[in-house]
Amino acid sequence: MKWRNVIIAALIALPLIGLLAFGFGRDPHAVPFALRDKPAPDFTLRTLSGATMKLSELRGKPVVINFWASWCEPCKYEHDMLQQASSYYGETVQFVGIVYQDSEEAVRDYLQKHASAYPHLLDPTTSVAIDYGISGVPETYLVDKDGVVREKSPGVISGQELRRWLDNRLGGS
Amino acid sequence: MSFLVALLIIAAGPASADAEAEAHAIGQRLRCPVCQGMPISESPSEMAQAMMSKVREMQAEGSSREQIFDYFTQRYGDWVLLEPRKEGVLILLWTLPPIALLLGLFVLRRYTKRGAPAKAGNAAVAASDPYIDAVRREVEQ
Repeated sequence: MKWRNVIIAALIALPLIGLLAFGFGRDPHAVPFALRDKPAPDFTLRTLSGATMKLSELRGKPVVINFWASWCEPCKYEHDMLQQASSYYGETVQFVGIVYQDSEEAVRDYLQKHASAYPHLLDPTTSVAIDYGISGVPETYLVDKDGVVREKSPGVISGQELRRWLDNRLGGS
Repeated sequence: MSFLVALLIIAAGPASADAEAEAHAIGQRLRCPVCQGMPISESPSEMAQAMMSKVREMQAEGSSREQIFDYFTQRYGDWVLLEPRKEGVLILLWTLPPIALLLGLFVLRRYTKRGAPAKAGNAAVAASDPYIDAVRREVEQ
């Protein structure tokens, strides 16, 4: 009789403990990566130089999309690394910056003081940021050569992580 | 001409008010990704305002409420829904609490029922206890 009660209690308690462990093991504010392995939402945006850039026209090589803003302090930590990575990978990888909720003047001012090795696009209505499920900046995505979203880094991306992403896609070491 | 314009405004008024009410209702069910559990219809953040604009834009294009929710869940996952959908594994979120409540009530009822006869049984044993009988007789004398 006692064993029966113990088994019943365990049957009730164990799923609850499992549920709590699952819940407490996750960050409730973390936005899931819903676009993983899905076609990248296409966009046509204006660059700071006035030209337009369409994502689907970049097919054939991986594209690193970095959402950033000049007012965003963490974005500044990764800025130099992204410029260096863009120079290192050269023509094999396309790097693109998408400006998130920032003024064109502030972005121009920031990029004049810092290096700018790749195009930065303006998203004045935040529609592309919403299309990619952005929950803040910085946020970085990797779109493969076939236009499929493969990786996402919420927050500051490290050089090692970016290298792992790109070496996997380019078949390097 | 001005009469015609006035007529058009009057005619469009309730329709646009309805559309805005519907946009607000949809926004109430979508979580603002840059806030702490706030719906996009109530958040003053630029992100939430941009999402509300997207809702209105999709409404104007003729998208249904479900299509709008689909658009946001394809980008933010079910996380973006403040009220989980009643389908798939999410249906457990709606069904488990009442099931757990009913189960709890059932277990409680069973235990209280089991407890009642046990008390009566003890009373009967106590009543027929020779020692208690002797004490009772002594008290009555």
